[in-house]
Amino acid sequence: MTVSIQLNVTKKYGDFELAIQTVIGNGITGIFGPSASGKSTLLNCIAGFEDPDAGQITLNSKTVFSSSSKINISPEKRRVGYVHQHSALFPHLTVRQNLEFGYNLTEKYRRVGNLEDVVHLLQLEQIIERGVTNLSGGERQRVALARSLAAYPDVLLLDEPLASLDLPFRGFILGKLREVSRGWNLDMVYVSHSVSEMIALADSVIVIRNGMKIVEGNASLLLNNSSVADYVDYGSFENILQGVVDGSVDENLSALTIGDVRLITPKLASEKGKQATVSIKASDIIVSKYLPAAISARNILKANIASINHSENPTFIDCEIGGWVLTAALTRQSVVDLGLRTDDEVYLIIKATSVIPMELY
Amino acid sequence: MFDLILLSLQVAVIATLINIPIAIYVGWLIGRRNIKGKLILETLISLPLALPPVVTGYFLLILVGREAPLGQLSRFIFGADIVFTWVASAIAASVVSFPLMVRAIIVAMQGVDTTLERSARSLGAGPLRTFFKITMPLCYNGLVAGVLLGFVRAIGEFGATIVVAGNIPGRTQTIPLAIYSKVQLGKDSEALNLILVSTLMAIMTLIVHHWLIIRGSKKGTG
Repeated sequence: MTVSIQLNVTKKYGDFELAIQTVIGNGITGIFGPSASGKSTLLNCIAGFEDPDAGQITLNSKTVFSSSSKINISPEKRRVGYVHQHSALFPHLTVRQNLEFGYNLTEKYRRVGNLEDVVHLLQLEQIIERGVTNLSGGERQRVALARSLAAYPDVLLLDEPLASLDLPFRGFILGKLREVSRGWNLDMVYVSHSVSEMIALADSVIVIRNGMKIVEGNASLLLNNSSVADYVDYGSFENILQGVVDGSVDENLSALTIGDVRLITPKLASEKGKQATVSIKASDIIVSKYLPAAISARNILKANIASINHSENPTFIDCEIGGWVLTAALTRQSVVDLGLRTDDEVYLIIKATSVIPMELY
Repeated sequence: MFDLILLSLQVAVIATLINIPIAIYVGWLIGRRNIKGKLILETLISLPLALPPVVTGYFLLILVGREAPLGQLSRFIFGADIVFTWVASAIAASVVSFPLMVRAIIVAMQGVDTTLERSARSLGAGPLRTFFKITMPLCYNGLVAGVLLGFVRAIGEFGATIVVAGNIPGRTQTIPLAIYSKVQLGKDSEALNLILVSTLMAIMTLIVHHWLIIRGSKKGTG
């Protein structure tokens, strides 16, 4: 793992104290924790909006804060992008002027392409000349992300950027974050308390609580670690998947190819060959040990159990299918009755209507 | 009467122009920064609002009087006194109107969302660029409203002015002082004309002030 951010900071507010020592690697790192656990304070310290009481922060080998060496680089010189939960667009400027604000302040050699590339990436062509005050929540957040990207930061911090968005916008932005992270080789720190988003997006996750780091590792730990069990809403866990549209099946159904698997979905708006994001609630997936016959469900997927979390109800089962993982949620009794074990071959039964498109148009 | 109105406008405009940069700076200090001694600073700037204007005038007399350091400095540089000149009137109007202007500017600046300024900083803008490109445009209406409020107070200033600048026709006599003199002398109809002019100017300024406040709240900017 190449190191992107190294930090060891303490910050006290009344009775609350943030005391974090961690290393954030390349790719997308999730910061997960309940409300008031210190997630936003941590981001603010990295961005330079708040000064830690003591400690050190290093961004890509450059010390931006050190209480012992009296170093405190100002936010505008840290090259850290920040996307806020509520967009924080400049209300007196148009969409284009919002984007140009950071773009014009960025040295030419740092730019990846030009402003129109960012506009195209976030599909802002239709709203580029509009004022920002009348945009919808999803449009605002697309502009906020585009504005940060147009300043070509070295690290992008995202503070619950999808918290107040509808499903299609969530799907669109999650897809774009993945695309940019890989395509631009841009490291991201993503704060959220949605396990679904974390698993769909983050390469690794750091769980913090009461200002302390509890555990860190692969994002799937959120489904099987007892230290997070009491504040995670497992019932709403959904698999967020991205695939390539494989055309229409009939007037009501489409097909989506994910890895080697063809998934039947409700009608997708995206054209054949385009990327589309869908979600499947873990509790909507039925697990069978045998190939079911004469069944109405459109998707019967052969899978291997990669892991079983035996600790809590529901029990999450990670199933590997053609190179990707789908998580099903079962009652503990079902797992016992079926005698499910790791490496077992199973069939996952998913109704087409349980696959929810997260498309923008 | 034309000269009287012109002198009054001259005094109020100069007083307002002196106040604008100081009020913006103090408004920013109090409205946007976490500085130590904020309570003391707020008390000091609001003092002329709470003190009888005559007392404010007396304090000014101590500061700019003939024997005071500032008075001596003026004589040294310009070869002239400050007291009992239109400059003293402008200083008195400036001090008395300052709290109204700065308080409106503080409210306007406090209305600017901190995350907008933080966004600007993370996009590469330094503190000055952030202030002029984000903070100032967003509190523009409140700022102009504060300036107008200060101006209308400056043009109506009486108590501090009469102490530090006197009531000399053609030199320091502004509209309120002239009204006072004419009422004292029983020239009620002349006083009434000036009262009418004074009232009209106040109403017009306040209409613009309220319009700016309403426009600011509709646009979601201070």
